[in-house]
Amino acid sequence: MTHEEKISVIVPIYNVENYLERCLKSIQCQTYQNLEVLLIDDGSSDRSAQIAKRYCEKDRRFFYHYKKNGGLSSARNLGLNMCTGGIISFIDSDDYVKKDMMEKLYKSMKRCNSKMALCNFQYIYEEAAKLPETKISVSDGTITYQEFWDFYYEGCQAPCVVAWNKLYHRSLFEDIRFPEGKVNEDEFVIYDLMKQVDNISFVQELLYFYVQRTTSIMGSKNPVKMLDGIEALLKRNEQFYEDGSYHLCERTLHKCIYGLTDIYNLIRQNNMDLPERYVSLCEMLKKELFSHYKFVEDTKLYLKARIYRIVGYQFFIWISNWKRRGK
Amino acid sequence: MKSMTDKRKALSVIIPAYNTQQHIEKCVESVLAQKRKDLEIILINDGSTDHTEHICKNLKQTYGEQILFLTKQNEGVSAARNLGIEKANSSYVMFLDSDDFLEPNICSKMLENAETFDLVICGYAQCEKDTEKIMSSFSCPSFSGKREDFLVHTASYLNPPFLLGPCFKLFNLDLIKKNQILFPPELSYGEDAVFVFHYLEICRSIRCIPDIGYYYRKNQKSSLSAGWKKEKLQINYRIAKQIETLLIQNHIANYQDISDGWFLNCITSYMQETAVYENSFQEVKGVFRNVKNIYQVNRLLADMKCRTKAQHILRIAARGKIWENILYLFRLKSYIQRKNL
Repeated sequence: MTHEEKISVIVPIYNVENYLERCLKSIQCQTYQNLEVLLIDDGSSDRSAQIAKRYCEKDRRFFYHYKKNGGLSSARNLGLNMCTGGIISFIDSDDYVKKDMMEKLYKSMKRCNSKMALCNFQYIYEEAAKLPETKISVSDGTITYQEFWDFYYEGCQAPCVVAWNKLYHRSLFEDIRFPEGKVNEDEFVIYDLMKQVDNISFVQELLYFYVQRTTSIMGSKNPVKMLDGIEALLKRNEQFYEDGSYHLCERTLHKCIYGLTDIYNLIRQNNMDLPERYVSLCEMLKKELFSHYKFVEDTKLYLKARIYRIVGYQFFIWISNWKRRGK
Repeated sequence: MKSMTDKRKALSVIIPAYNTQQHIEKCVESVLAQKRKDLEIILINDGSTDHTEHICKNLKQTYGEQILFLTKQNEGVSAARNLGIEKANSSYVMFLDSDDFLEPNICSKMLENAETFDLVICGYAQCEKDTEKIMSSFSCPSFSGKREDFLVHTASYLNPPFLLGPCFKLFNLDLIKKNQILFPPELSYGEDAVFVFHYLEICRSIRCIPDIGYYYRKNQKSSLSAGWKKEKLQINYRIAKQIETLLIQNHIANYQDISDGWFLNCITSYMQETAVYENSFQEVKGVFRNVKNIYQVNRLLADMKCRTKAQHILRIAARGKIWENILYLFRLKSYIQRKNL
């Protein structure tokens, strides 16, 4: 039982009294027992604190800390600063896991000698609309850096990017923290994490249960907050450009275009005014499309870029939308 | 001579020893010289590779019944202390590090209070390694009462090492055994804090005596590797957060100044050690940048209500671009200190 093999499980908690018991129970009965469970209470005002403290009294691996409300990123960052295990894992407090999740991911990491492990997850619906369910369908083994980005951009974005279906070697988070005050925080850190690994070990089994509820951060669709995701993509585009992965730049920019289109539709649906941030992100995207390169390879992107330049973003979005409606 | 083996002793002094041949004798003799004689010394040789074992065996031969001498494979100070707790046959227990020593009256002074209070704390002093000249000391004015009141009483000058050090405290062995309070063996640093925090959760009444009873020998060298120092800082952060929680629960208003202030000291020590012992300037600057971002030093300093002079300087440096260049200040300070010695 060394602390290199100890897994620090970071669980940010915010007003989840109806879900927390199930979550913590599933962690407590893990077959892999060398755990340290950090329950970071981000200023809950309901009974979550009592439930969490009860677990700490019964099981000394559980450790509770209360902080003033600062958002999911700040809670995870506090957990990262306090953890002592050699391996890190995140679990969201409204979800729950299979009892052998840690064991299977850990064994996979050791077998493939990699610094990260990934598994698929099961969507669980509670009064929320169904989402497109994506999972990576190769068999257990290793996924290389290139394959990872292929999966991400070709339809398996969720399992690739989320923070909680993975195990990380502690060294990966040495210089990385989640950006505070933003949603889609996992999109901001995934590039920096992946840059440090050559391959990830993969377990195909659905080991994590991702609960969809309307009151969660991602459940309530707020178009202004979704702009954070676009910001993350633009930042990643810069990073891909710097390391010469131009084909990944193109795919990222494509995703930006689709993302901005969706957000525009949501804004119009909710009869909101076009926020200034939306406009400035569109300007940034425009700059990216023309400043760095010529898109010799991706003719679709090239065409879109030209239209964008001529017509301006509103018309461009209308055209893009019309095309997608037609499909 | 009356046989001491049937009666349970009043106090066990647990001494884990690892390669301290120079000072172990003085350490053990300071316990034998105590005015109270109903003590038991549990001397544990943690797999020493120098003459420590030989010296311990000699002491055992000379003083026989008063010393219980155990040898074990080297597993660290936590495992050694836990073994001491297991073997102790007494009502109360104290921990003594094998290169430190006790003042001759302290055990009787502390034992006087042990029956009425769950935890008795005395003051400590730091002395120079070889000359034993006293460099600094810390103690709390006399206090007796509930644990909650203790924290309020000491809050204005609370010193986390004073709160969390296991060594100058008298613990109730029954409480330890009943609640299975132990030192976590897998932690290479911060195991003291875990033990004392756990005990603080359980104990109800505390007595503080202002007398200096424990002498620490100051170790000048830093033999820690870069990775280890970083881990130590991380554990200190966790301890600072635990202190913060403990203070908030006991309604201490300036909790942030105490816990954050202490952690800032830890950061400064870490930066000082890195600046002096790592050779590449680029590496040191990288470390400084990393610390500032990870622990959000700007915010820490901004949130504090009262700042010491050093903290004011840190705040100015953190705001501007000169943060990384503090390393030159640290090197200068170390140079001056070395020249003065």
